Order: sequence, then C-alpha cells, then structure tokens
Amino acid sequence: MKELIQSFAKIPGPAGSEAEIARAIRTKIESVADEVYTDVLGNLYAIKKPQSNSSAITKTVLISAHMDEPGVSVVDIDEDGFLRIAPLGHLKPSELIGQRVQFARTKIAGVIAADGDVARDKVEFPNLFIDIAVRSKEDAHKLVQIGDAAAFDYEFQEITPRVLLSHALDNRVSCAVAVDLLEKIQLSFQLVVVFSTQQQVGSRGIQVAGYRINPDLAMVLGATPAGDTPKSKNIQVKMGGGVAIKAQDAAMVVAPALRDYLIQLAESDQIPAQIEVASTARSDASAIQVSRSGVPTCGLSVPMRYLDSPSQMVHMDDVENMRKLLEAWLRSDKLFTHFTY
Amino acid sequence: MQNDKALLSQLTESVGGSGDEGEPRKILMDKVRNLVDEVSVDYLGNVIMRKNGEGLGRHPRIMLAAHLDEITLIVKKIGDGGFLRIAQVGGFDPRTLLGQEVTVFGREHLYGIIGSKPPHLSTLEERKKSVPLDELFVDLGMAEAKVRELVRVGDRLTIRRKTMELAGDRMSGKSMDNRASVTALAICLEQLKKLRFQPDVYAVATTQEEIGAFGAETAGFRLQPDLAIAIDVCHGEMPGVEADLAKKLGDGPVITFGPRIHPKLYKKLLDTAKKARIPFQIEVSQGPTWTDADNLQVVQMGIPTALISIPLRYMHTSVETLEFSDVKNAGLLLAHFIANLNSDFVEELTWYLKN
Repeated sequence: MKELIQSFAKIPGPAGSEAEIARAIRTKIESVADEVYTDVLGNLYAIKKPQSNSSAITKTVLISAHMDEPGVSVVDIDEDGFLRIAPLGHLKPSELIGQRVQFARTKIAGVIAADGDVARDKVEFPNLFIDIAVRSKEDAHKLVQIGDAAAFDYEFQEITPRVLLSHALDNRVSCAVAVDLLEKIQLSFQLVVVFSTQQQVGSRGIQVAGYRINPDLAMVLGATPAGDTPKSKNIQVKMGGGVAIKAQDAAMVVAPALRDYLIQLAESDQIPAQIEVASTARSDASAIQVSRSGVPTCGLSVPMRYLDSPSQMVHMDDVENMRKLLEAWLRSDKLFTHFTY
Repeated sequence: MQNDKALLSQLTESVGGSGDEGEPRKILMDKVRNLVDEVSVDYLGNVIMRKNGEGLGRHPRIMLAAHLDEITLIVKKIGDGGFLRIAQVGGFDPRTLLGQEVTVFGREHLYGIIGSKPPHLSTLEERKKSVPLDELFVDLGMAEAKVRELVRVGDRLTIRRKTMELAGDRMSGKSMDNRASVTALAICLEQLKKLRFQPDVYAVATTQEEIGAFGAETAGFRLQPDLAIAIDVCHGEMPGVEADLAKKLGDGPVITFGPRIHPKLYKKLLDTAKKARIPFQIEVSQGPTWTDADNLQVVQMGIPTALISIPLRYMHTSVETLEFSDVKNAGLLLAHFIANLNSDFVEELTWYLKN
C-alpha cells in the first residue's frame, strides 16, 4: 500500500489537470475491474460486477476518492518571463512564498515568489508569481501556456517507517485504498469506484458521477485535519488514533443511522476509529448526497496533520484501518437496510 | 386555533437539527396521518404528505416545502476537565449562546450550561467583544471520565427553551424558524378538507435547509412538481432594523417577488389573498432568498417557484418571536391558492417570457 501511495503522490494533478494521475490509476485497475471508463469531466470509473451466483436484486454502492490536489494556474506572463498565477482550490497566498511547484503538462519546475514591494502578510494572489528561470516572455512561452496548472513538488518521505510525508496525500492515500480494495474484493452487489476530479474547486467531478451512477449508497474516502499538534483548535481527531468516521464536515451532515452503523462495525471488529467533526474541511460527500432524489452518503477520512500545506503527514495505521473498516462495511449484513427511516 | 398553537409549541420544543430531524418528524407524521392520502419519508428524511385532487384528467402537481430542521450545535471535542467544545450545524448567533442552558443528546439527555471566562478575569479589550464560538464551552457538571462515557464527538446539543405564549397572539421560542411554516402546512392540509380542489398536493417537510436546502433539492427532483411554493420565515420589524428590511408582525404572511420567483405564481398568490380577504405583505428580493425556493427553482429542467414567509423577530436565536395569525393566514393562503389552481394555469407557466 505504501508503494502505491508513493507512486500516486508524486504525480502532479491539480484540479482540472488529472489526466496523468488518472492514467496511473487506470494502469493499476484495468485488469481487476470488470469495466473501466472515463467521462467528460475526467472522472475515472471502475465497475466491479456482482458475483454471478448472487440472486439478490442488484444494488449499487459508489465509493469515491478524488484524484485532484490544490495548485495554481498561469493567468499571465510578464515581459521578463515571470508567470502570474491564480489559485486552484483553497490556498493562502502568503503561505505559497518559496514553495516549489511542477507543471502538470510539461513537468517544468518553478518556485513561487512575491513582488518586492508588498509586506509578506499582505500578499494576495496578484502579488505572486512563478519563477521558471527564463529571461523573457518569449522564452517563457516556449515552456508554458496561459492556463497551465502546477502543483506542489516535494519528495515523498517516510519520516518513520509508519509515518508518511508528502504533498497530495490528500487524497492519493484514499486513491491507493480504493485501488487496493478493487484488487482484492468481490461482492454480491455492484461496486462502482469513482476516482473523481475537481474536488478542490467545488466537487465538480463527483456531481456528474453521482448523477450517472445513481447509487443506492455512497461512501466518500478523504482526509480530515488532525488536531493533535500544539495549540491546535478544538479538533478531537488524532493522527494514528484510528480511521475517522465522518459525522459532519463544512458542507454536509451524515445521517446519524449511517454514522452509527460504521461506529458499531468498528467497535465489533475492533478497528480503531474516531469521529470526524470538521468545520473547515469539505469533501465530495455533500455533492453525492444531493444527487438526483438523494443518496445515503457516509464518509471515512484519514486523519492528516498539516492538511492545508504541501507537507501533509499521515500514519499508516490510520490508512490500514480505513481499508479494514471499508471492507467490513461492504461485507456487513445490514448494508442496505440500516438507514431507512 | 388553539390546537394549531399547541402543535407549534410541541414542534418547537422538540429538537431536530439538520440531518437529524427525527423528533419533529414523528410529531408531524402523527398529526397529519389522517389529513392526507399518504405519508412517506425519503432517504434524506423529507416527510412527503400527499393529498390527491379530484376530477378526471391530469391533475396539476403542486409541491409545498417547509423545512423541518432547525439550527443546532455539535460536539467537536471533549477537552480537558470534560468541557465540550462546540461547532455550528446551521448558524446560531454566537453572541446569544453565553450563559444558556443546553441539552446535550449523548447516550442520555444531559443538561449543561455554556460558559466562558468571567468579566473579572477578562481584559478590558476582551470585555468589549462577544466571545467567539471557539472559546465557548459546555459544562456538564460531571467528572471528565463520566463525560467521556456519555458523550461522543458528533453528538448534538441545543438550547433548552420552553415555548412561551406572549400576551395577545404572539409566541416566542426556539426553532420558530421554521416549525411555524411546518405548522402552516398542517393548517393548509386541514383547510383542504373543507375545500374542493383539482391538484395533487405534495406537502413536504424538508430536511437540511439550514445547511444548504438539500432536502428540498432532492425531494423536488423526486416529485418533479408543476410548481412549488416554499414557506419560510423573514425578518420581523424591531428597533434598530430599517423598515425596508423587516415586515410587521400580524399584518399577514409575506409574498416575495424577485428573480427566484415565478412572476405568474406571485401574481396568482396576490390575487388569491385579495379574493379570500387574507391579509398579506410584499417583499422584494434582488438575489437569493436563502430558502428552499432557491434550490427548487433550478431542479432538473426548472420548477416555477414562489415563496411565502412568516415575519419573525430575533431570527437564529432561541427567542424567535412571531404572531400566530400570520401562521394561520399563511396556511389559509396556501389552501385557497391550491383550490384556485387548474391545469390551464399550470400549462401557461412555461410561457411567462411571452407576456
């Protein structure tokens, strides 16, 4: 699993430029899924059909893991070849100064810097630029086009054998969990895994995926900020404390029946778990929930330190527990009956 | 009338935050079961109350939407000493939370209070400002170990508040937004027993309005009505609020006009109110109405949508205050509107740009 996470995390995939990460995932799942396809928003779908001897009426469960990560896109190139940028996703301009980035299309490297006449804490996006070490607009144009998107560019590291550090762990960790699941599971109902696009810019991909699949039940795999660092603000979730079962995030509330079912499963299977109430983080769950006539939607998240930075940190225990609880949930007796009112 | 007031009291004293509307749902379903042809509940918890119209041929389908959920709070963290840290589900005014009694819906119902550092220990600067939500905490008066045994992150809590009948016809309490409109739905359904009408009525108590009007959106998709009317609350007049931003309590339900509102439905509502001699007020909204109406208008290929509001003072506090006659009249207006509706009117709705 660790190798899978590493191989996914190093691929730049800012919102709207997910083609390469989608190809990498597709290579892994092509032989294990019954059907693999993409749609007009770039979502990657993997269908796992029900076991043939099953007599049950076919139900469909959708599992989503978004592929994209935050980034910046080029809006203008000045006379001296510096690239002006706009954000893709929620990024704080002042925190970008000095960050290394890589363009998704061309793999050109650059560093983000700020105009010299603005105080660091007053920096807004119009004050930022990417330096790709060229001398002129002409030279820059040979390497970059307006609209090209770049993501953070840092080496994947194992701080300890069990703790990973990288950009894009949100949400490539979940992508890896979903791929691993596809490789190993066979179920009596239809499983559709959606590797979704454009979560960072408002869960655009999953909106159309939810509409297309119209599932009976949905599970969103993601990341949630961990609050176990000095003076962090009122977040109970701890890194290494277990997979986080979503109760609420900034955009949605999980129905109590769905949440409690997961809590009970974690307890009975002795899978370490915590409860997520994240007032700042958003996920694809809100968009799936309101698909068509409404879809019962729950979520599992990996606790993540420094979620809003390029140095995201996760514990492998939490990743493995997410994988375990996900499978326990999919194999549970009352999967389709526990949430009716 | 007294029965309807009792229903509003019962509904407002029950607790049903967004996504967790079980208690008021049960009260409502018990109340309306004999008034309608069918009651059902969908995946998002919307209560769909269907009342069939009469006559041959195609019946127009009308959806009424009054949200059932209320703003609540949620446990975010159990801190040292067993003090609970809290977050919003919806939008309480944090200035009104300090010093309140609350009920925490843990493994059992627990009473607590919302505290913060007292003035004696605060700096002059701190005393000038209201305490932000992040610095408020809930004290359950129990040892930390006991708190951890009975409360989990994700448990809901809200202010304990008895609904009060004020002098005259006014009532005050928590979650008048929007149980007042849910009560108006029930009044409308009662009234329909006395009227003849052609449309099939889908009165829906919607869920999750306070966090994005998700219930109305999905119910609208399922029902695909020919037209929809949202019923919600608007600001009632009070000191410090400009007259054009607030409506008078007791002067009747408020009919909204604006880009989110279908002009023919608006006009039909005005005509209906005049004809039935029901008092009403008018509100003009330039953009979002921040109600179920916004989401309903753009479901699928679009739904002609209108909005009726009940004037309410002190919105998003636990002392929301209204005049009951406005609730009653909102219910009557809905019933008369339905009784005046026929297929010809519905078919013309798609053509409003022509005239």
